[in-house]
Amino acid sequence: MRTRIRLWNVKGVPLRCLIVDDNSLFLQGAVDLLTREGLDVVGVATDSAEAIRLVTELEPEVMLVDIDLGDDDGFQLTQRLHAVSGDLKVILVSTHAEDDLAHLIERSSAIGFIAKACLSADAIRDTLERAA
Amino acid sequence: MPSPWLAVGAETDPLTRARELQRSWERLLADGALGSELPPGATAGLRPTILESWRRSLATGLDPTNSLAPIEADESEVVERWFDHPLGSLAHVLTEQLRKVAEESRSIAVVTDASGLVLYRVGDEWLKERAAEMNLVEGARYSEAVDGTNGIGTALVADHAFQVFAFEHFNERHHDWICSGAPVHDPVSGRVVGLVDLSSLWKLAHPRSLELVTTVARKMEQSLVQVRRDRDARLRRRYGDLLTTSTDLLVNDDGYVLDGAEPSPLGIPEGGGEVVLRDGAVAVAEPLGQGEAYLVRRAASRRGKAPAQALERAEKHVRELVTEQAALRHVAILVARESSPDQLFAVVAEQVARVFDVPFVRLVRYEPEGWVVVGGYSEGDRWPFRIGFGSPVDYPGVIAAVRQTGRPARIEDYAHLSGETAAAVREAGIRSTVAGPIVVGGRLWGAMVLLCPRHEPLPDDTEARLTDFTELVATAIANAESRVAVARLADEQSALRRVATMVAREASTQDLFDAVAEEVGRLFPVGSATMGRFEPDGTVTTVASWSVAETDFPTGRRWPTEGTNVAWMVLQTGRSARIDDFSTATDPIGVATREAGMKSAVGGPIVVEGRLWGVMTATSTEGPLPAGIEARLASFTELVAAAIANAESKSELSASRRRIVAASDEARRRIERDLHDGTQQRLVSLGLAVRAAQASLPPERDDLRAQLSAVATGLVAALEDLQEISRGIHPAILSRGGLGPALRVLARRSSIPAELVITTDVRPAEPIEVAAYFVVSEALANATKYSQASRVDVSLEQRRGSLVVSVVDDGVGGADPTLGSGLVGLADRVEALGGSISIYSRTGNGTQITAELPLDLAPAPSAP
Repeated sequence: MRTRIRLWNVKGVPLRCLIVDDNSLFLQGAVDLLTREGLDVVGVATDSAEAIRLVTELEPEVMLVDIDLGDDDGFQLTQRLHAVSGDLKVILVSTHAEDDLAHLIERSSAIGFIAKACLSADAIRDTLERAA
Repeated sequence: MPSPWLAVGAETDPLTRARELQRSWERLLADGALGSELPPGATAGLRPTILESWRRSLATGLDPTNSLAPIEADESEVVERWFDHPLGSLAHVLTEQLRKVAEESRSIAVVTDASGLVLYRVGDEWLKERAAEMNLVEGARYSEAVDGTNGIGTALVADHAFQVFAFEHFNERHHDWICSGAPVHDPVSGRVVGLVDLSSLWKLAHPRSLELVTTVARKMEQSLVQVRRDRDARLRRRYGDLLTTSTDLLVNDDGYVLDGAEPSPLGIPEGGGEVVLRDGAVAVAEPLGQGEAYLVRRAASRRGKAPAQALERAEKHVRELVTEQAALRHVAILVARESSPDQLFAVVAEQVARVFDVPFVRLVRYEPEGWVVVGGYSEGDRWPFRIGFGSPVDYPGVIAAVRQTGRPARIEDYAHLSGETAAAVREAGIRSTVAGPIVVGGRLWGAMVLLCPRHEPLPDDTEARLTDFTELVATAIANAESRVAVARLADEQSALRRVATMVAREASTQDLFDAVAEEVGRLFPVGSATMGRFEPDGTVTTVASWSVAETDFPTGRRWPTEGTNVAWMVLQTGRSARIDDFSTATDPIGVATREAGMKSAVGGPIVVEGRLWGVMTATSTEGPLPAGIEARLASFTELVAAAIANAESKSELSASRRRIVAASDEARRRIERDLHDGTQQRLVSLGLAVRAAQASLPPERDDLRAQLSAVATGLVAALEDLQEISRGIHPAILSRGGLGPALRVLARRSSIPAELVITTDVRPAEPIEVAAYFVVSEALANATKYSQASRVDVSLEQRRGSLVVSVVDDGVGGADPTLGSGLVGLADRVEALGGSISIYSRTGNGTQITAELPLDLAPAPSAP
């Protein structure tokens, strides 16, 4: 049995995903992994401005947003993204543990949090299912 | 026909030439006579290139008699831009080369970006200071458009190495100088990436600086080529297993095929797409990673079942990954546990030996002259190149090659190599070696060397794979150095506190002098510390002295200063001074110093109300005192000066202590950031790579999949260890969410059930939040360790305009009223910020620790 995981949305097409992070090492690894696992990574952004621009341009269905974006803040970006696109599912990521930031994560409009070390298409699917 | 680029040829007398040029400059620029109708001969003797440049400069409206190059970036911005710049990433190699060429040509070497913004300078301090007078400093823009004709701007306009001499400079301020600039081009696109310039006073200048700077620029371009090649090797390694047919190609983001088969680049549309190959076939380029490379597949081929060859490659890659990640995880855990560098070296060396299957691995550290072995692994009993083995000279070999180029190096045949090191290598039965650089904070710290006795050379990708390990070692070294710096700052803070207390209690000046001498003596690695007061007749009186052994500098004794001693140097210059050799001293102080067995001395001026009052001297019986000790001594001399000038003493004190708190906070934040951005991100990426490899495995290989899972789990564990360390250093949530959320996390993590009551949401200045956070953190830790309490209450409130934080437990009490070691350091920090900390603890009645902090930082006292 193939272990290729496919994430399908209701239309039976791989989920469109956009990743926002200022660390290029992580971006490379994440895009590589998620693409191999069957996600459709439509784009990447390294700061808030680029992220907002790409959301309107590419209309992703799910977004991974790093909490530490250099000078920017992932929580604030999440707010701004939801102002632009209310249905957008935002998942926060970080190398910090969920515990350390729990209070702030709960208060935000993101649908969940995935530790960068545990990132995988499965983890994204689980988070989406839990939020549904 | 003289070269249009060279200003002063070997046969020209600079003085005569300068006079000629001065006349031209005064006539044409100062008097503004450079128009289109000029009398014939008016521009004779001027290079046409200079004349054109002057016209351009005038056209931009600059005033040659009143111009100063603008400073456009502050210090921290420049540092950032430098490290982001392609030449900045070569810093660990460049610095040494530039320093040598600057020394040889009696100039300062300057590196700018393509727009003429100065990013980096190296050279003698006095010349850098002269250059600063005309704003030739980091962050200043030296383009022709804002400064007129000069060796940087004009060379950039001409896109050619160019020299500007004396009065050829448009701007009057540069007339004492000669500048030779050479643009540096990107090897692939041919565009200018920056410029290197040698500037010196023309009366002292080297006759061949234009030649020298052109050579340096070429070397830089070669280095850029090498960097590209290294990067391609890593891309090959990362994506090699995706090539499933013999016609598949891996291409880098400039369009060059990675195995070098095609000499010219393929035109690949951004984001991938259709490409036409050289033989006319149509192919599709698929972006890899973040577009760092492309997989180019011919349109006709199908991505069907992978042939056996590709499967084999994938398996081999997975096996390598598993071994490597296991080794890296092991090392990362050591980094997390703050093991000493020595322990780390031993473990890394062993892991590396296993991964690359070699019997000997060595870690060497570069010294100013030569290198020394600081760690390693040896199979069996033989230990060629033991720890401590050093070579005072860089004999030809991989260690020297890495030092020169800053890049990995290998030698596959030692049979014909000369020098002692090569002989020792042969004697040990080694046939080939590979070495990789260890770069710590932009500085080439040392190298890791693999020694192999086998006939077949080590595989081609060894250098690329070695980089993962050398980078982890570099992180560990950086962490260790930072921790040492933080510990040192804490010690200094305590010493300053003790002295500050004396000043506050208005202790006698003599008691104060004695105390400071003793603190200095204990804090720094010195043999003795002496404080002397300068008398009007040029002698110096010893007012306090501290020494490990019998002192020869009794208090009250007066000494003539002139001679070989730091007091004389400080008296002359008013600045810090150092002497590392007293063997030729004939003056009383110098002779006494030598006879006391002191080998080196450093003196710092004590300046009271702008007047040079005296000198603080630290001496050592063993070799030169560490660099930077002058600056650290300054904190103490400032305190002494403040005490002497009594009126300002208390506020100066607070300012000193606040500065140290800020420096210590900054150091901790840096460590946390390094851990976060460096090691943690690295481990995360490894984890992702492991899972990516899993996703690409053929379905039958569950065994490999299981191995990879185990590795991934281990990496997560190592990351959690590092997170724990980070939290103890500087919790991320503090800066982001403030004290409230941060204390909530502490309460939740506490092993004793903790109740948290917060009645204020004020957000005071960061150092105050940091101090309050660590008081609670430390108090909770102590309660967990000693109190046997069943519950602890933490509160944060605002009272009488102060922030009050309190931790109360219901345990056994009887805590040490002097706070115990962990809290003493915090007390320093709290008091330095103008707050107070207290502990109430009666046996059987629990313990309460309360800290009160102002809401604002006190404004800094104005400079005297």
